[in-house]
Amino acid sequence: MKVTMRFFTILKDITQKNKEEIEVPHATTVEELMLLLSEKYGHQFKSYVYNQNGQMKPYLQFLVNWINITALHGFKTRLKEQDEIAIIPPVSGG
Amino acid sequence: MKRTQTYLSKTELERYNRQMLLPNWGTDGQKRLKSAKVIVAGAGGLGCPASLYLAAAGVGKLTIIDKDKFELSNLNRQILGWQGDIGCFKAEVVAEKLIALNPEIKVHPLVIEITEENISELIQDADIIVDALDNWKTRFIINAECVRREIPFIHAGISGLYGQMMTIIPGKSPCLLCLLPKTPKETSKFPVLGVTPAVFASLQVMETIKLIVGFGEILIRKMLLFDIESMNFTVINVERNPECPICAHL
Repeated sequence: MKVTMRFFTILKDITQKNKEEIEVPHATTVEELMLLLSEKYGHQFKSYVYNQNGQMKPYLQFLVNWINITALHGFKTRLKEQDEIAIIPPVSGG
Repeated sequence: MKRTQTYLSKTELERYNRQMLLPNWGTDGQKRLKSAKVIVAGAGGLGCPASLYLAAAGVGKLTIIDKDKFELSNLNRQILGWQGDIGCFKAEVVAEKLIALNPEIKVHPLVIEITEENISELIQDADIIVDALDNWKTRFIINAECVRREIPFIHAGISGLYGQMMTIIPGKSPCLLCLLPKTPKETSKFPVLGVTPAVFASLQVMETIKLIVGFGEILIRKMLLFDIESMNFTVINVERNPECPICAHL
């Protein structure tokens, strides 16, 4: 199935895209999607999203169809065809 | 917001006439604004438009805190800094222009760096602090003091064509540390177009005014995200951390 990733700020620089349609297996979870993207974009993506213990960085917010995954099933949230997934970094400029 | 025996002059009634026509505002609302003391922490991309609209609305006392001088590269977005202000202290320049806009209010510039040592004295009589900063370290210093004093902190951060905004009401909403238990990496130079901080500063002013005048819904336990490039605007729920070392006791 196809889902769309949205990238902001540094992830936009890492992936060189602000959005990308990705082909993923049916019922892929958010967690699995992050692993796929880490494989695709390598160390820079991985070190942006994961901390040294291999966990997602706690200050990143993940949205599926603009709903925070904490209101869904967290990283185990299963994606559907045409879902939009966004990784929201807190930005500090002012 | 406490109410005092504040008087509105004939010129003030005329100046603020249009906003006083709004429901739930009137002379009582305007008097609350006149009695209010708001600190704008930062006089840059967020601070310039935020302080401008707070002054225009008639917040009685504004304190503008910024240690820096205007540079040429600031002028695409720090809109109260003009060509002739390059090399001048931002807080002082902004204060002068706000008074010229609205001589009915008091504006106090502070050319000083906010630190853990001076924060208590700096915000001692403030009703609300507006986050117009450009780094996490200072944001967390103010966050801790706002929680300690139980005063609202209107957070915003921007980068490029994107940003986030959240109103922190200690004890009722997550504080900054609830959301960011690990300090994100600081960014020294980031891309930014002037309208990005302008949009978020306007939202911060709106929250500030709603809190002071006492109407509307506040962004409590919610974070507003706006990607201006794609025009995606969303509000997500955010929750307090019951073990937050700063605010869990409230």
